[in-house]
Amino acid sequence: MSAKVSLARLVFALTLLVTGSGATLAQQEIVDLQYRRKVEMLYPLAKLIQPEQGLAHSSDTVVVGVLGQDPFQGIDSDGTAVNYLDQLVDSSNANRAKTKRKRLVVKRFDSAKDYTPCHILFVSSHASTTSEEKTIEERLRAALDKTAGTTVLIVADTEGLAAKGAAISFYLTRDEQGVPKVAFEFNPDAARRLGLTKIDAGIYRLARISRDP
Amino acid sequence: MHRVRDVSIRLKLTLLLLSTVSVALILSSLSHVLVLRQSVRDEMVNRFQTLANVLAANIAPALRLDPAAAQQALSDLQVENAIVVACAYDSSGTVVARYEATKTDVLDEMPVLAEGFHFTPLGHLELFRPVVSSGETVGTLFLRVSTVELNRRLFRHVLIAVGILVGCSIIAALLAGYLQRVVSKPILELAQATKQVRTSAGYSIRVTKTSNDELGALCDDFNAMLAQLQIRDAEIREHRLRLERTVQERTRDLEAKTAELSRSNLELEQFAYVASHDLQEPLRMVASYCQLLERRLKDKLDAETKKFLGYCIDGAVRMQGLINDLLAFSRVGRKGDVFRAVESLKVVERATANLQASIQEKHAHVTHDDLPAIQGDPTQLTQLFQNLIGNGIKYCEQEPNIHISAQPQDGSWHFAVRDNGIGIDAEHFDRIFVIFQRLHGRGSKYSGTGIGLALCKKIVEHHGGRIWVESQPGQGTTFHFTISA
Repeated sequence: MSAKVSLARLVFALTLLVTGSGATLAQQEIVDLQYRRKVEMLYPLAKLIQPEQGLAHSSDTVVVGVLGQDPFQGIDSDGTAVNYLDQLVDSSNANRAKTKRKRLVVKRFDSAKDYTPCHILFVSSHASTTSEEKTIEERLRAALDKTAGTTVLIVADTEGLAAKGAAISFYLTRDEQGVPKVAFEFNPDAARRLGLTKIDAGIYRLARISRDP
Repeated sequence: MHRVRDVSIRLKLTLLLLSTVSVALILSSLSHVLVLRQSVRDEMVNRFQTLANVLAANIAPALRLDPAAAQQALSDLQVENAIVVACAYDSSGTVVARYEATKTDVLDEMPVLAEGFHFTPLGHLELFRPVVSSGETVGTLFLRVSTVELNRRLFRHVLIAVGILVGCSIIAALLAGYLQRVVSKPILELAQATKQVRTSAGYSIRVTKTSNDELGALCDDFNAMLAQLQIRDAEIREHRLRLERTVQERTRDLEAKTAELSRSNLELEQFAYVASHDLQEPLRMVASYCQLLERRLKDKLDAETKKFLGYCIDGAVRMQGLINDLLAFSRVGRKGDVFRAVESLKVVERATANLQASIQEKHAHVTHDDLPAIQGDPTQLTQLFQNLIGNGIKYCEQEPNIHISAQPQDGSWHFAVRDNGIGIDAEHFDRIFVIFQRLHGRGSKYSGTGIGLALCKKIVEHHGGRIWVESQPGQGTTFHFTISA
C-alpha cells in the first residue's frame, strides 16, 4: 500500500476522531493507521540520522528492535491480521535489488534485559504481558541504561519522550490546513549522547526540536 | 543587375560601401542575437537547475516524512514568478506535493518523468531533478519554468540590435557618401575631361592630380596621353595643311594636264578621222590608176614590172582596209551616238549576212540561242558581232562552229561568242584588246590590221559593259561581254 493511501486513511480516521464522529470507528482501526504511518516513517528517519554508523553489525544490515508489546499488529483491508513492520521489512528486503537498501532485520524484546544490539530501537507505549517495565517511561529508561555507550537510534512511541532521552518521539498534531498528522520530536542532545553524529540537517526543518530539561 | 551596372559610379560606390557595412552589421547582429539567445538560455537553465538542486535537497527529508512540509516548500516557489508548475514525486512516481502558480497553469497531465531539462514547443523550460536523501534517491522534482522573461530579454536585445543596425547604417551611409568622393571625384573629373576632349578635341585640357595612388597614376598617364595627342594633333594639322597644299598643286597640274590631254586626244581623234577620211580619196586614186595601168599595159609590161605593180595595188588595198578600220574605230564614242532598243538577234543576223562570203568559203556554222533586246547603237553592235564571228571563222583550222548565247546578269546581258578555233595562250589575253597588237606576223596566213578586237573593246565599253576572253590553245575561244538590257 502506498504512503499516500496510508496517510489518507490516517487523516480520515483522525478527522473522524477529532470531529467526534469516531464513535462509530473501531479504536483498533485508528491505531492501525497511526502505527502504519509510524512504520513508514521509521526507515526515512533512520536514513536522516544514520544509526548504523557505529554498530558492529554487518554493514549491509539494519536491525530494528521493538521494546515492549509490538504495536504494529493490525488488520489488513481484506480482514486478515498483519504486522505492518514485518510487512515493511519483507517488502523492503524483497526490493533490495532495485532500491539498493540495506537488509532489514526485526528483533522484538519484551523487556530491556532481553535487548541485543540494534540500529533502531522502537520503544512501544504498550507493555507485553511479560514485560518488567510497565510504562513507556520505564522502558525508555531501561533502554537508555541498556544501550549506554552504544550507537542506537531510540524512537519513542509517544509525545514528550524526546526530552527524556529518546532521540525521536512521535506525536499526533495537525498541519496548517488543520489536517491531523503523525509528527515527531527530535532531541539533538539525546542523539549526540546515543552516538548519532551524522545527522541530516533536514530533520531540523521537519521535527519539533526538543532539548534536555 | 543591369540597372546597378548602369548607375553612376558615385552611387555605385555608395551602394557598395553601404551594402558591405549593412551585410556585416546584419550578420554580426544576427550572430550576436543567436549567441545571446543561447547564453540567456544557458543562464536560465543554470539558474533553475541550481534552484531545483536546492529545492530537491530541501524537500528530500520531507518527501517521505512530512508531505505537508514538502508542499509548503513548493508553495514557497511563488516568490519566483517564472516557475509556473512544480511537482514532487516519491520514488514510485506518485505526486507527493505540487505547486501551480496560477489557475491557468494547472498541470492537466502529469509529465512523463525524465532526466535533465528540455525546452517545450510551447516555450517552457522543463527540468527534472532526482531528490536524494542520504545517498538514496527518494523521488523526483519537476519544474516547469516560463520563458516569457527570457523572450522579453531577447526581444529587448533584438530591438537594441536593430537600433544599432539602423544607427550604424545611417552613419555608414553618411560616411559612404563622403568617402566615395575620394574615389569617384578623380574618376568623374577624368570622365568630364574625356568628354571635353571628345566634344571639342581640345587636347590642352589637363586633369588635377589629387592623390598618389592608382587614380593619381591614371591622371598622370591621362595628362601625358593628352600631351602626346596635342603634339601629334599639331603635327597632323601641319601635315594636313602641307598635304592639302600639295594636293591642290597636284590637282591643278593634273587638271591642266587632263585638259591638255583631252585637247590633244580630241585633236588626235580629229586628226585620225580627218586624216583617214582625207587619205581615202588619194589612196583610192592611186589604187584605181594602178589597176587601170595594169589592165591597159598588161601586154606591154614585163613580168617583173607586173609584179611591182601588183605590190602597189595590194598595198593600196590594204591601206584602204586599214583606213576603214581606223575610221570605224575613231567613230565610236564620237558625239551624236544615240542608243535605242535593238534586237540583238537582228544584229547577229546582219553580221552573219555581212560575213556570208567567208562563211561559205570556210563552210562555217553560226548558231545562236534566244537572243534578247538590248540598248545600243545597232551599227556598232553589228560591227562588234561581225568582228567576233569573223575572228572565229578566220582563226580556225577546221570547219568553224560558232555559237552565240546570252544570259541575264545583274540588269545586263552577258553574251558569249564561242568558236572552235586555234585558241589563244593566256599570256596574250590582255594584249589582244590593244590597238595594232597582232599575235600573228604579217607574213603569216592570218592577215589583219590589229584593230578588230580593240574596236570590240571600245564598242563594249562605250555601251557601259566590259569584255574578256577565255581560251586555251587548240581548244577554241570564247569572248564574253556585257551590254545593258
